[in-house]
Amino acid sequence: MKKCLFSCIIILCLANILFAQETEPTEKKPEPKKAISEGSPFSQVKFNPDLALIVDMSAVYRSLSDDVLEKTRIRGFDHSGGDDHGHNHVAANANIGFNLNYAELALMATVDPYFELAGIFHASPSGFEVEEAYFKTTSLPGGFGLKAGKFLSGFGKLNGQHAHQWDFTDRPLPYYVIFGDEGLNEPGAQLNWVAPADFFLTIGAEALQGTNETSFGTRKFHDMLNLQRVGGSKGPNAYTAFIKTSFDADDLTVVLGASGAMGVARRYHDLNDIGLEAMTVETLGCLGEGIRARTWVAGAELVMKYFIDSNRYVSFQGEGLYRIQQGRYFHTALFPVNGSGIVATPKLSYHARHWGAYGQVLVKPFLQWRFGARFDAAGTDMFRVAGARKKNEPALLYRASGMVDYHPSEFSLFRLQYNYDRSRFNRYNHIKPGHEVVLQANISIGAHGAHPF
Amino acid sequence: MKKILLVALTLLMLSPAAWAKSLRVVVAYPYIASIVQQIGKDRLKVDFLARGDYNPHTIVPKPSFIAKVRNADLLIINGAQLEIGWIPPLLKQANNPAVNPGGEGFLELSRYIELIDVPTSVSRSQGDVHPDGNPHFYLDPQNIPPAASAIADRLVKLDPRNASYYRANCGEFLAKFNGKLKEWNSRLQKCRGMEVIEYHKTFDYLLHRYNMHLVGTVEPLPGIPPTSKHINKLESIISTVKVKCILHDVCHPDDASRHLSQKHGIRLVVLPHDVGAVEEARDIFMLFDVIVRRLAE
Repeated sequence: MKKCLFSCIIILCLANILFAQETEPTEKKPEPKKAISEGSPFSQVKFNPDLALIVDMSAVYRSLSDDVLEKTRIRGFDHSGGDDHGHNHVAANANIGFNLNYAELALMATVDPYFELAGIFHASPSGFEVEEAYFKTTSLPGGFGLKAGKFLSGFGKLNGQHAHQWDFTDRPLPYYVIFGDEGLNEPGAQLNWVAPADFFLTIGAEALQGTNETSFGTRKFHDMLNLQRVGGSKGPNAYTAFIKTSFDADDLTVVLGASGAMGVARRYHDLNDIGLEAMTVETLGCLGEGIRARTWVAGAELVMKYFIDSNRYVSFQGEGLYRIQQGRYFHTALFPVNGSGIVATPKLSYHARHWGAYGQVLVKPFLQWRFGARFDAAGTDMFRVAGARKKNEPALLYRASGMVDYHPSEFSLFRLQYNYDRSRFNRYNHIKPGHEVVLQANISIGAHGAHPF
Repeated sequence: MKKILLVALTLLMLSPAAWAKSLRVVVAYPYIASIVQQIGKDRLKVDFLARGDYNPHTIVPKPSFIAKVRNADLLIINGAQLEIGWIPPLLKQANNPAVNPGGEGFLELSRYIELIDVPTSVSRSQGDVHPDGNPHFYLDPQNIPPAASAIADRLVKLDPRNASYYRANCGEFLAKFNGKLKEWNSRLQKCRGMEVIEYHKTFDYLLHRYNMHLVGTVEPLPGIPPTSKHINKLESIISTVKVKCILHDVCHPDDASRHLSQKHGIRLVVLPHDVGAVEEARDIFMLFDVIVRRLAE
């Protein structure tokens, strides 16, 4: 009994100690529910737009040296491509050796319940350019969407995509010769409508400033003697329209589209622009030449993608472009074109028809690898000045390419591409076939905008 | 004859069926469609976008999806950024303000679930991380009832005419689901404490719920395919821990998982990650039936 009492007391004592320890008075301080995270109570960090930086670089080998390449041109498309004639835009993969093609900075966010705003900027050896800056409606009824600012036109398939979304490192010939090195990328407005159908159908129309160097042009010009003058445009200088549809047949997705663009081309190159260096046998003695021509461009696109499973696919993508230009040709020459006068500036009729097309096949046989082949071509269908057909413009210029790319993750891409190029001619009108190998790296950080199909 | 036609036409016009346009619901994944189907039955039209047997992270936003989103009254997504790679371009191109995020026509199911594996710091050096937490919550059957209730609530809000119908169907669904849950719980009892390896962190919620221990993943980091260095590391884990099975899904190459399974004699269990991932998983009930059967085999 004594033992029992004793042990009881011990237990009670122990319990007391334990209990006392548990209920040791703790000082309660009022503490903020959340740790201080941002400096200012008025911080707006959460409203920062989505931000991304994409850097594109390449290492290039070419069989033609940079100097030789500079003096070549794609015949029949004399003033296309921004890399000659003193224009200030530098094309991607311009030099043999290392190239920093661009660092793209993209900002995007919802503005308010009605709009979203996007700004995409390119810092490149050409300088700092506004690639795109536009707002887009988010709440128009009836399937309508309105976009205004500077943006890549919805003409065709490839034109609306940024270079890093392409499956090959460079712009294929049809787009290069018809819309130049920056594509159809203009200030303007776009209205598009998605049909309330069971299948995808969208129609769009754009009014654009139409400054595009190769197919349009807004600036007035006159020849060096100021005898022939062409006025500048008095409003939007180019209009486009497009229709796209798509359907799925089991694991095959097909996209079909047709696009049209029309406007006025105004361009003039005097001796300074052309440069003695780039002078060809045809332009020998030319002091300046230009056109003012109504321009129509038609485009057709076809994309077929067959999904083998979640990670593998085979796809085909092809586009064809056709351009008609009709108007006046201005020519100032030491040697007259039509036999009148020593320095003549005749106003001649101009009618040119050009075409371009490409087709590419892509295979993604494993998780991170893709293989592709592309054939792109362009040519002159008709070229008449003063009613006379110029016979020596080549009907077919082409390139053939093969590529393999590797994606360690969605945010990094390495691509090896080979081009065999039969589109360039030297100043004596001899073709200069070239081989080109490009190793491209495209790396991105920040908000990664998911790409449309 | 004409009169009869006229009368028939007027009757047709007057009938509520002709007037009432049923709600068009578009959902990201088949499992959501299956729940919506149980709640809405024939009074709404439900369409899912992603295929159940495809990797839910890397769905390709096909133009046909744009058409579906364009015509939707309600878009239901899984959320927790599982769709970050493919839903945003659809919303951008569909021109349908009814389903814009933040509105009543947009429902993100992850908001109704407590997510696990919420990273304390986020860097892409950790692979394809989801800053909100692991998005595969729906593979724990206990997370289905709150998702179903959230769906029913939203349907009632958008289509109050059928409120009682949706509520009744939801109640029925929950009762049936909870019944099945008891069966699944008891069948998975034997898996408690089991050490497992999985390919991707797809089944973590299930493992968590039933006390299974994940000792490693076949991919070194989320979204990064296995490397031989990482497989060696896994093999050293296998040599110290008794791994009972390797869980694999149907949308990733299985060579590494198969290699580990054959070399070390560990059971390879291929589990569906969504309705339609395997043929037998035809609805949300059968999805868990298959998972439970294959796990507890």
